[in-house]
Amino acid sequence: MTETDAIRLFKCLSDKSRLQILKSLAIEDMYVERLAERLGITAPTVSFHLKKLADAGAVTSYKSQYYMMYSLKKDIFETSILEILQEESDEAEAQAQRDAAYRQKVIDTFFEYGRLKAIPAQLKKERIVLEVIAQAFEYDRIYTEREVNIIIADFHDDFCTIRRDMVGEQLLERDTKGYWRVKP
Amino acid sequence: MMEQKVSKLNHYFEEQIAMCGRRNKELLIDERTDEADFEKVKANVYDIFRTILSVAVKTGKGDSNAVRRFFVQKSEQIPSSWETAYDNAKQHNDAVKMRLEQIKLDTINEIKENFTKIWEGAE
Repeated sequence: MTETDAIRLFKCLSDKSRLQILKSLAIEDMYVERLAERLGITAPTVSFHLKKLADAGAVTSYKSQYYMMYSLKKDIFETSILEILQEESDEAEAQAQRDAAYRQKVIDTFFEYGRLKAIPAQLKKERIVLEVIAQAFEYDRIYTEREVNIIIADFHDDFCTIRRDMVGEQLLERDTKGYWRVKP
Repeated sequence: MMEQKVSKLNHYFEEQIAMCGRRNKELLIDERTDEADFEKVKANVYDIFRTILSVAVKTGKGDSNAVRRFFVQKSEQIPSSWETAYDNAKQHNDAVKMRLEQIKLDTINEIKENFTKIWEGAE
């Protein structure tokens, strides 16, 4: 259930008449007139509430002889509130999309035909650029400093600055044996 | 004579608006928000036609027939868009919109009935 769906469902449930309708449907499937009689509200008002409940995914309907029967969508109510809270938020998804778009824009600006045009002055942008260069390194492999310089030189002539910054950004690590790519 | 009818009608509108307000509060307390909004919709219709009555009286300039004609004409004219909206909602099986338009139509029918009773002196 998405965040929007959850909000719509909760809004829909915060109404006594709709809750009464759901309580009745929890007993058995019913048609509009039966619900109206049972709850003491008019049939058009019951239809109004049923439409809102159906839009929120709380009830479903089916035809039985002359009647349109309504029933609870039990799977919705079997979802625990904790499960809903643990769902990834739509906003987080939108944020991730915005981040991806920004990242692509930085890459398009600073790279041309696979070469780095300039080292970005902004740390946030430089980090993105360094992450792209890091992809040229394999995981679980030790590189000598010379190998590292050759790989980076394919992107930019100032391999010393880039190598040092990649270590600083913890994209590469080093010890006496050499350099290796850090796993995320 | 006409003043009495106008006064009766104004009293009727005020009473209905007050009743809608009371029901609205009761329904809100009872956590029936949408049904509470239905009362606001009804109150709005009463309020519209209370205003129309005052305009009718103003433009009628003491002519009882002119007042009646103006009010009756508006009570046919204004709900025609509600009828169209209701029919559209029905075509699209939109029970939510249908209910709202039906409330307006039921209210205006009640107003028309009461207007006739009061104006024709049946009450």
